[in-house]
Amino acid sequence: MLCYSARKRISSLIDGELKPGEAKQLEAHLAGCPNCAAIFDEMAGARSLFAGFERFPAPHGFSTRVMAAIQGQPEVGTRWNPVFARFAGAAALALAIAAGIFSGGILTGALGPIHYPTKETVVASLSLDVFEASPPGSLGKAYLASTKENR
Amino acid sequence: MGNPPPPFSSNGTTQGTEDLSLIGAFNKGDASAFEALVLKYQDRVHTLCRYMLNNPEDAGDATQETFLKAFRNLGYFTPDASFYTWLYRIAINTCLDHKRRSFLRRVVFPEGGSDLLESLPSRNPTPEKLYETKESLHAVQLALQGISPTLRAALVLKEMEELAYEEIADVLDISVGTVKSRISRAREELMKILRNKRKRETLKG
Repeated sequence: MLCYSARKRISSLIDGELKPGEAKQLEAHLAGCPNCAAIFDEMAGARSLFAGFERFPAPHGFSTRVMAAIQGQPEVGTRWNPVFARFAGAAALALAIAAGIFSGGILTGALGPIHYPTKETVVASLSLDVFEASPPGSLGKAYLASTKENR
Repeated sequence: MGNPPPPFSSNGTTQGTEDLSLIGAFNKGDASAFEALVLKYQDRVHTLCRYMLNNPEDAGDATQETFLKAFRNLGYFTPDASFYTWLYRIAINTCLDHKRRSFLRRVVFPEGGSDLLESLPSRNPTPEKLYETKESLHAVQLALQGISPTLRAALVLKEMEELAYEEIADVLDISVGTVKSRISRAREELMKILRNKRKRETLKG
């Protein structure tokens, strides 16, 4: 095994990730190559530095805070589009406000009284007066009036 | 503080089965199942974030963000990958995003060099030796911040979480060959930084 190949594999040897045959070849090379052996020693030293490394437990109450933060999130499985999910709350609020304004407008009459059709208005709408040939103020009305006077 | 067993020990299959069982319960509406997952992995994820970001506040934020993202996307998790590699991927990406957003302060150690093996704890350390060891560990922790985040991620996953190369490849979404290369380069850079630091301290006298 050449030094170039050996140096690429030293880290893997330290991690126990080489196949047995490859590992034996590399170990044989290291036994006879002081330069590569020095690199191995240095990398093994780097690895051993982590042996006493500190673990950092999550802060006290962490899981409770995570679950509390989750409370307002959409449930898993609804597959909400995260874009729409962001605006859903605002849209719902706007809709509620609009519904409130509309309802309040009706109650206070601000939107104007609602006229419901009566029997009279329905009959009136169907009367021929609507279709009067000579409505007041029209030329036809004036003509008829003048012809009536001349009779 | 003793190290917890790595996710894939001799009980690796049991660990994976337990996670899938909790995910299944969660998908059926059992919110406490997700909390069980948080309790199971919060320390590991927090340790990972701490070594990626070094700052305790940033690490806490990144840890919480990791679990919130996991909650939002748990419905998309498929059992063809293990849950913890999926979770670690979210954690690493969250930390890398955090790094990109914040101002990066690279730790620069002056030129120097010394044999670090001397600073390893002995069997019966004296108080002075314990202090030196703690200082050495602190120096290594700082030196970790001096290597690029992508190299650091690979090294931390290997050294702290003791993941196999294939698992690291899964977490980082890279090939096994790239994992090997990154870990090797990370170790080389780490040793170079520490050598330079010790050299400068020697020069100072």
